[in-house]
Amino acid sequence: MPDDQFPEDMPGQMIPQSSDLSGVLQPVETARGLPNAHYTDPDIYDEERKSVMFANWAGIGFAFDTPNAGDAMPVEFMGMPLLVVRDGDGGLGVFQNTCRHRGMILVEQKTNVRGTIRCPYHSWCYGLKGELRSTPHVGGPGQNLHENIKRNELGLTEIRSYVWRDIIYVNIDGTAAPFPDYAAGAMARMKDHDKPLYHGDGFSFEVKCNWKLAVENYCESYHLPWIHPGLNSYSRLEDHYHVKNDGAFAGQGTKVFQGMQGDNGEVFPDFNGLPEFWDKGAEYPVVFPNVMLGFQRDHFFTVLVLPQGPEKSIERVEIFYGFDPAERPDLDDLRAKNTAQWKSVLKEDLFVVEGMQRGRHAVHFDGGKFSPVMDNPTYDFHHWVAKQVEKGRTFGG
Amino acid sequence: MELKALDETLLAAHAAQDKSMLVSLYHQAGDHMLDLGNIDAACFYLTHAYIFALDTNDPSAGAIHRILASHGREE
Ligand code: FES
Ligand SMILES: [Fe+2]
Repeated sequence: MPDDQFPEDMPGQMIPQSSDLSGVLQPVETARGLPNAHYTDPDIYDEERKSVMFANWAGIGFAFDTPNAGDAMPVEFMGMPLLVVRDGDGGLGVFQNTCRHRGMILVEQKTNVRGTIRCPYHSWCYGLKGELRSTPHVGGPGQNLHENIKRNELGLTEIRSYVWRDIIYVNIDGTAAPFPDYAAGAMARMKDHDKPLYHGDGFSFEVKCNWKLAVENYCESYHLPWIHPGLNSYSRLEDHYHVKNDGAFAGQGTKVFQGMQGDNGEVFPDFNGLPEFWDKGAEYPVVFPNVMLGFQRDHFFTVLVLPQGPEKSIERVEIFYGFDPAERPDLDDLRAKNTAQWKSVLKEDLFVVEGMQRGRHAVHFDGGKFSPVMDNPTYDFHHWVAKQVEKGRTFGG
Repeated sequence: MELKALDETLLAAHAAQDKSMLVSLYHQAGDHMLDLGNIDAACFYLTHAYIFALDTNDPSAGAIHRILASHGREE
């Protein structure tokens, strides 16, 4: 092979550049948004995967996905194979979905494990709490023990997880503050809503944008009158306010929420015992990085933004109520109407988040400019992301 | 059962992923080898019986485990 095919000396070779975040770290008045590369560049996507998603508490799924003892559900989160398992005591564990022997993927599809999780390769068996229970033939045929195979050291690799409002959060690198500290602002603010939740309905859709654009758009109310004119009848711009940023938490609220009514005047029962504020209040905050929440007096929803690459995401929407839908078939139609309304509102946002994504390929776009009055939650999110990335660059190995 | 016949039945059970059948066939093969005094072969088969019993939460897992443990093959 001629020498000039070796890349070391090639002129103009692309060396991955780390992005310049100094503009994002300014106060809102003078700040710039995150540079284009944070929306388009695979290297920066990988960097954010590590510094933003894996170093914090990201939402990956829901506890109701695995209701019964032995339910095991594989979840691939940004390429990381995870396994959610409901154990015999009702506890939920999240593990790396790989065998401790040769790294085989353990569970390919959602299943109910009757006995143990048996690796499909050499049949090492794990209990529902991740403990290694047997290692067949590991010491030779018919000999399942070996002094170097210490079962108590070879359980499944557990990933830190926490369930809040039925959402499964994971901190993959294990370095974040405990979830109740990390999300203290969100938990305190939403304390009124600590009520039993019943899952109603859900839907998912793909969106051709970087995961952050979905979050940024959700954070602000500035776009409401333009993108969601239908909301205007009951929700005007001046009735909205910012939910104050507290660490990894920001969003917007409204003072004129009206519950949904059916054709025959039927309404959803409210969550029990909510303070008066919620009669007309509703709030739409984001627990950074990727969990968007919607609190109303009669239902709660959450949207998980699941990155599928630098320019593609899946939004998974699940809607919860304060009553058991199985006991109120008379409200089935109203629930369907509510789901349809959220679906249409969220789909109204598609062309803007996808349009902003394509806009990130404009080489002269400089991250944009924030309205110091209207864009604060979006700015908070940019600032927070930049801080996480910076932390990774300073301390990350 | 003849070993050859057992082999064929085993292959059929593997193909059908009939795990409770696999537990019982491997268990039989193991017992047969124990009768012949071939401990290594017996523990080989019993290991398979044990793993499929663990897999399916088969009630025979405990008994099979005791045999394996008594020969120093399991914890
Ligand atoms: S890789 Fe799982 S048992 Fe070998
Ligand atoms: Fe919107």
